[in-house]
Amino acid sequence: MLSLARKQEPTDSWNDFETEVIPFMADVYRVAMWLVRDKTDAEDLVQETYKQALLSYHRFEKGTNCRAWLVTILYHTNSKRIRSRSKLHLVHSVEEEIAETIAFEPPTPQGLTDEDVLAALEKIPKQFQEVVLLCDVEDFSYKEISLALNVPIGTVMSRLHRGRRLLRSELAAFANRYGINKEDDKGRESNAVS
Amino acid sequence: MQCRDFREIADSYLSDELTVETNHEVLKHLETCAVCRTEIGARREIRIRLKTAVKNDERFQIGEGFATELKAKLQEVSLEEMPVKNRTFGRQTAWLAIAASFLLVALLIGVGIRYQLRKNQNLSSNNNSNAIILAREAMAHFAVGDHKNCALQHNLEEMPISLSEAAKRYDKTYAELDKAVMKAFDNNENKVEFLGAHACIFEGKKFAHVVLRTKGKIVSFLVVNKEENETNSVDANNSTSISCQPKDGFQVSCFDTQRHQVFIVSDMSEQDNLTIARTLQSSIMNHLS
Repeated sequence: MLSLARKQEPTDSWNDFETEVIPFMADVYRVAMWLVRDKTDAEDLVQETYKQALLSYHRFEKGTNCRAWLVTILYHTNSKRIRSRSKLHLVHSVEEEIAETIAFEPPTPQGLTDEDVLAALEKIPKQFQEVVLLCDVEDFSYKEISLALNVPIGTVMSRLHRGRRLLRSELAAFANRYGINKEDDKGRESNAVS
Repeated sequence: MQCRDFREIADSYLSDELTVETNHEVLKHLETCAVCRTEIGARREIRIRLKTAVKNDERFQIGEGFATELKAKLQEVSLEEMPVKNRTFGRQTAWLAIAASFLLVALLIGVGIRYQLRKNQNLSSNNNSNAIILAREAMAHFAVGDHKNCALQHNLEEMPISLSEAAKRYDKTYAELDKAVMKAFDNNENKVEFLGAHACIFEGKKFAHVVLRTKGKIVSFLVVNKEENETNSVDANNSTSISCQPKDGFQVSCFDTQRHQVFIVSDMSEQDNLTIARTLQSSIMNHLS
């Protein structure tokens, strides 16, 4: 019997994969490196992610966000690796509590360097880091982040809100240490009270 | 808007995640508040710095050797293990089947409602009011949907057009409908704010839509030509009744004119929603006649 569907040859599939998926390798590596903080682990993770992507490429819908699809696979692969290494996964609720208890949010400082901003990001708890990174650096939508992290969209939004607040607090601490914006802050704080 | 409110939503403003109205309020606030202008500038700068810092940091750059090697390995694997893709019919056929099922269900519901309506009409001429209610009921679902998608979520599939354009294309009475609506509130004791007016389409139904705000709630004033309502085979010329019902979490008040149905949709109390409908009824009936 004749089949209506025209099947692709394996080489066609590879050509499509090469054009569509391979170009995002550097982006996937960046997120992987941020997740595991070790070059060898990050390379292993990217390799595993790309292999999974290759094997499930026939399920990828053309026209959808390929980078978000890859990052979703990356997070799932990483979760599997963590589970296989340890059966117990602790959720750091204390960190969530810390984020809730910022009593006063100082004005956002100016004149900081890229390094300061990066160092401040590395100081905040990991679950807030990753949403800030995925949203503000990698430009993923809330929905894409929610799929990648496998958490409700509301959780993404609240972590993002708290993560950005924590980041600003860290940056304000940097600015105070360097004496940046001291005069400016005084004026802004008195205005903010009004 | 106060500076405190602004600080809470400043990040959402930068991410372009606010509704049109809130965005407008933010812009208005920024025009007059130098402190918040500085704050938004600083937050914008942090985002740019964060992006460049992460993307330029050497620790996060992929090694060229690793990337080339991985690509070669993947190509090798692809020859043996990569499943091939059905190019055209797999997913599309599934969607066609789903679409056909929906069409069938919609058809059955349509036939059911028609049958129900005819049955009601045949019972007695006194059942005219029942038919009015049924017709309103059928369209209320679309009115609520348009309120949610257009006024609250700004998520319409088709771009709205102006009321003057809608007057040329669909119904000449839609011209200056917004003025007629606002005129009705001239002597109103509660402040009613005009947010926008246009004609929009929700699930194929064409509405003239005026968006208002009162008591801090968004209110949709929606007019639909009765020709849009397949279940509407009744003459409601003499009916000045206003029906009020909760639907899908909103309050819906409705009255008829000779050729139109008018809906007021909001999440206010039943009484408040009904009061708006009563305030509007006579001037809107005049305008649409």
